Amino acid sequence: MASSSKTFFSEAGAMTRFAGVFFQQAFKPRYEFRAFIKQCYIIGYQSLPLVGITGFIMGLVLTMQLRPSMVDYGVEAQIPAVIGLAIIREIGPVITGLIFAGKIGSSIGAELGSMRVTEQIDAMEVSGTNPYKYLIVTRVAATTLMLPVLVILSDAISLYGAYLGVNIRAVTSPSLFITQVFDVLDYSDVLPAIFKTFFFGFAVGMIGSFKGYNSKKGTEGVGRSANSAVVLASLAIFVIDLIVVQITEIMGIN
Amino acid sequence: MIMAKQTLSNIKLGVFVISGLVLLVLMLYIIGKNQSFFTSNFEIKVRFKNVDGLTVGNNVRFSGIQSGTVKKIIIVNDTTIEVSMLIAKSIKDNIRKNSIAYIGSEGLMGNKVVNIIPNTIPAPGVDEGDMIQARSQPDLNDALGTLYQTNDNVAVISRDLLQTVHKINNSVLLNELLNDTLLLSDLQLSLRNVKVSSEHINNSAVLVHDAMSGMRQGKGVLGVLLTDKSAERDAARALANINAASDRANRLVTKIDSIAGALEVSINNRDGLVYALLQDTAFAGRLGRSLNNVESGTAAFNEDMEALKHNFLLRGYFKKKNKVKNNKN
Amino acid sequence: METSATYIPGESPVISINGLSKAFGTHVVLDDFSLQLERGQTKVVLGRSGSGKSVLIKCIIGLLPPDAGEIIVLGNDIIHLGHDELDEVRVKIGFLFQSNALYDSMTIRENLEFPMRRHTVGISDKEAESRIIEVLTDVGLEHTIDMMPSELSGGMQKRIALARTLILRPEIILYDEPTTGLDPVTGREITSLIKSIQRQYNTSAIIISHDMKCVKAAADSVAILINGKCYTENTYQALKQSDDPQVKQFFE
Repeated sequence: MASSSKTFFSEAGAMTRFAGVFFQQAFKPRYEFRAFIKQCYIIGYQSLPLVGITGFIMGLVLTMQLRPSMVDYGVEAQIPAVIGLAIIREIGPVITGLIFAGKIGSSIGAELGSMRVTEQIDAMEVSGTNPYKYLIVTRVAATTLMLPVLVILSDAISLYGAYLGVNIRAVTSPSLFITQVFDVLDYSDVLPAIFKTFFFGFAVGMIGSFKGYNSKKGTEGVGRSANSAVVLASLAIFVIDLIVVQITEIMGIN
Repeated sequence: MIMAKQTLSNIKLGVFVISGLVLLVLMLYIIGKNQSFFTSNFEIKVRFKNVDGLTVGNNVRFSGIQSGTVKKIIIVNDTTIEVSMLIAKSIKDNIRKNSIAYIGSEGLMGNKVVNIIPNTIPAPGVDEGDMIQARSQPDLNDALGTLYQTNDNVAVISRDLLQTVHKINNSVLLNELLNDTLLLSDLQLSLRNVKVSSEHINNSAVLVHDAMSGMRQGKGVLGVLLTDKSAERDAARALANINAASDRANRLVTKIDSIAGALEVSINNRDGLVYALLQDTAFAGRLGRSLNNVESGTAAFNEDMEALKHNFLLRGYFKKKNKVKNNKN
Repeated sequence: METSATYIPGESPVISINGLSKAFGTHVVLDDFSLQLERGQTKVVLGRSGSGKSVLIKCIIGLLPPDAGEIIVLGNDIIHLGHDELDEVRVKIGFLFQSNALYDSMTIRENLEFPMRRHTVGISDKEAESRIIEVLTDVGLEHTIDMMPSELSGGMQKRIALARTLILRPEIILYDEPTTGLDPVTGREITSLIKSIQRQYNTSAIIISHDMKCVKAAADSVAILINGKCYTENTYQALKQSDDPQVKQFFE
């Protein structure tokens, strides 16, 4: 018990230190711009199909699930507003974040883990490259900046799914749907929701990188890195979500 | 070849990022437009005694059109709350200085809104920072309470009236009574009063009837009743009228009752006036019509009350009353 | 720098290690280890698995910080160099990793380009291209230039890794168990390739190995690492005839 809590705290401390190095390295030349763009492409663009499909299904299913109760209460006309709020405020960021953690957290963990195990990270260092900068800073910066973009696109796709969901049993024009959704939306709904996704992205990139970079020898170590990266990143998303909602509550912009 | 692949992936990434940003900007713009942040506004104020849960950001509607939001709510003193509203400049010309503001709600469970309605008296348009007048709304529960009391009153009155008329009709003493000319003219006057007041009751009943059928129209009584403040006001006014009328009728009946009592007292005092009265057919006709009026008035009122009982919103209310009555019995 | 002043190119040892110690926790790997590498010499460090041979050469190239001792490479004190100066020294040192360490997200060409692009050594695109062709020819794998590392066999990967080590024309090459994990025939090929490259590029080298065939073929001198110390150092033939049981165990 004592030793497991000791490893927990030492892990937490090591991760904090690891994240601290990011801020130390990220703003110092040389800037690995090309590697960053490449990571943005892999992390952002190539995640879009997965995120888009899950977002679409989420919007559609949520609408279909919610409809019976809304009809029972006689507020069928409120479906777009309710779905819109749910998607923009919570479902979009969190579901996209979780999918992102599953895809990107594990791939960063596995990739860096295997690079560590096969000495590629050492090889980079020997080749006059700061591996932290070349591998970690680029990836974490890419996850931090790409997840918000993915969330916005996923929100839009989810709303399209919800629109189709509404149209299964009723007829709504796109413009009425949009009016109904945006009638209830406020800056205080959109901005904190987008704001928190930067933290989600940072957490996913940082945890994946930490787990991979400090991978233990052997293929088993790589697998464990990838696995624990996903688990921890998913947990981090919920914790950050909780913290952000508490902060917005305190600031009175919830 | 490698360069071409690189360029292609850069283009894809560019499209991805830009489309995300454009969507974000678009989303914020639409919200901003809804909140009229990007259109020019002006501010007007109104003071209420009670804002009924109104909060900053609630909508302001002018004659039902979304036209602004509540900007600030401050407590001026213990009975005055000042609400500042941001109104779109585009409708500034339509709002007059003497416009009336009241607090309503958006649908059944919706947010509170400030409704601004025009006054019938002409006035110049509002300026930035003007104070317009407020009106408090009658409470639905109070209205229902009054309605029920009125109903009871009318029922008592019509029963008494009926008894009185029976007494008059069946009394053998009436003949003798009618011999008394002084009493006759009194009675004639009283009956004329009965006619007038029964007409009052009738009118009131028609008003209630109208109000009720108005409520029954549309998407369901509850929605109309809660959203259409003018229907509610009509109902309230009608109820007040009924109340007044029944008060008057009550007084009248008391009078008639005392007359009838007097008739009974003077049971032995036979005079030729009864005969004379019975000969006067015109008077008899008038009396008959008066009684008919009373009857039809009460019938219409009963019908309304019946309709009210079957209305789903008020059903529970009447059920409860019935239960209480049954328990008493 | 004090050490730079005493360094005379061509005469002083290219690598001079004195009193090197390194421990991981309580596990002592190197304990007062000393070794000199002369110019043009190929020295094999022999030792059992887990005896700290890899740690030794990782200390030499500055991947691991030692606990005590000094490492002078080409007149530079590796341990106390700043990041940029260390990179300058690293340009002159090739390192062949045990697991090849080819970047598996890059093609062979990009793998070979990487050290040239990353080190600010001022090689033009045209020269870079000709060097890539040159080293690939040296290892006999010109046709793999646009392939991915995962498409190559273990032996071919080792050759590409060697080509990448050569591309900056290093003065010293450190080989970390170059024949481990290869079949005997491929191992022999790699050994002879190392030998021919040593001659062709005239480099000094430290080879970490326990493959006696490789040691016999490549070594000018053999140092035996036992219990973290340089137990003895001599030519292959001399050590083979030794009666010391500690030495003999390697030759059986």
